[in-house]
Amino acid sequence: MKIKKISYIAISLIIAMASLGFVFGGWTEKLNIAGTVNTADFCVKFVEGYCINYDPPGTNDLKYYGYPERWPYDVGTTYCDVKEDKVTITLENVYPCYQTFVRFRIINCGTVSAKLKDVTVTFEDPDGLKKFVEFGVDVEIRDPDGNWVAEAVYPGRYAGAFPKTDAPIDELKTALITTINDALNQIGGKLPPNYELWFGREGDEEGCFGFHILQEVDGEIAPENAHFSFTIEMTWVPFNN
Amino acid sequence: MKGKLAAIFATVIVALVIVGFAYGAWSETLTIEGNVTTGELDVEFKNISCSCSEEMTCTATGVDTDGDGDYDKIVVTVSNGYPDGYCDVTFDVHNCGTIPAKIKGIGITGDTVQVASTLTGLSVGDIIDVGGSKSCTLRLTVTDQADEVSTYSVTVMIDAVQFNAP
Repeated sequence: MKIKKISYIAISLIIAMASLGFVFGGWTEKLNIAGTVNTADFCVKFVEGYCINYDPPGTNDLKYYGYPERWPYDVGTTYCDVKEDKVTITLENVYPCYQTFVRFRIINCGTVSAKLKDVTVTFEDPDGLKKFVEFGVDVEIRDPDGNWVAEAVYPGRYAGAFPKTDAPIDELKTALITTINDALNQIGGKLPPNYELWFGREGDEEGCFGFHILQEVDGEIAPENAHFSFTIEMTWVPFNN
Repeated sequence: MKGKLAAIFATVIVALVIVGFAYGAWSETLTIEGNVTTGELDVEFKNISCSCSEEMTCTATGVDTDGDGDYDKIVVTVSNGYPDGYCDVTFDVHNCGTIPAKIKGIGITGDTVQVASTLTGLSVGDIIDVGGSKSCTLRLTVTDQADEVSTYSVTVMIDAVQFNAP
């Protein structure tokens, strides 16, 4: 008897709860949120094929700090090859007091601002030439309309946008971090989309990287038939990284 | 408890890996490679010959003192010299390097009182293009200050530098 009663109660409860359930179901509304997220395109690259070279093959050499004057000789030669992710600068058959400049561009080709995260520089100096190689760099920023908006120079200005070329090559990393960040800081610390780092429009008489070969260091003369190479890697990340 | 800790640890690692991948995908590395190769300044003597006035004789021989495969010294031996007798050493100064050479200095030392030395065809400031030459003559004249049966020596030094050197 007792079991029967309990069974009735249980069945009643189930029926009641089911009824409530139906009723409750009838008093609910479903709200949906459909979210779509389109991520940005992060893209920083060199402008491929663009390089202004101040001593290309077949051109007489620049006089040291004498631009635009040139020697009546084509002895040293500067080659500049620009791919999207790599620039190769080659100075061939150069000699003491040789000076050259190359100019290329980095563009923020994405949709999100970029900042410089890191610069690494490595050297290969099998012939002891490194200490005779000097450089200078002029960093400029242009907005998408080509207007100049910021600039930083290392180690100093020679003329116009040509940098002096008397910084030891050992200072390359410091120079790039300093100049790029100094220039970026003038416009908020980041390179916005479609802005260009370095070196303006074609036809402008501006310099970017400049190089110079010293005659003598500590009584030692620059070696002949010597080779030296360096590699700069710049890591760019989104502005908020 | 240990199982829970392991689960948390595994979750953190998975999260870090995912974050790491995401970070890798959102950076760009741009590379600038620079190569510098210096040229060679190298001048040499070529086409060396020697002739003298009557009854004097001479030999002129090129010597490679630095072992680079070309003559950087001429040894001239004059025999039977007499006052006002002379020998002419002719040679070319040839630029066999990859950089134009400028003649920075010409010096004559030694027994110049007894042997007068005159170099023609080459002057300080001359620039010799790569592959080019200057034809020169060195005249060695025995003066009346020279003794009989004696040996005198003179040295002519030609200094060349790269064309743009001051």
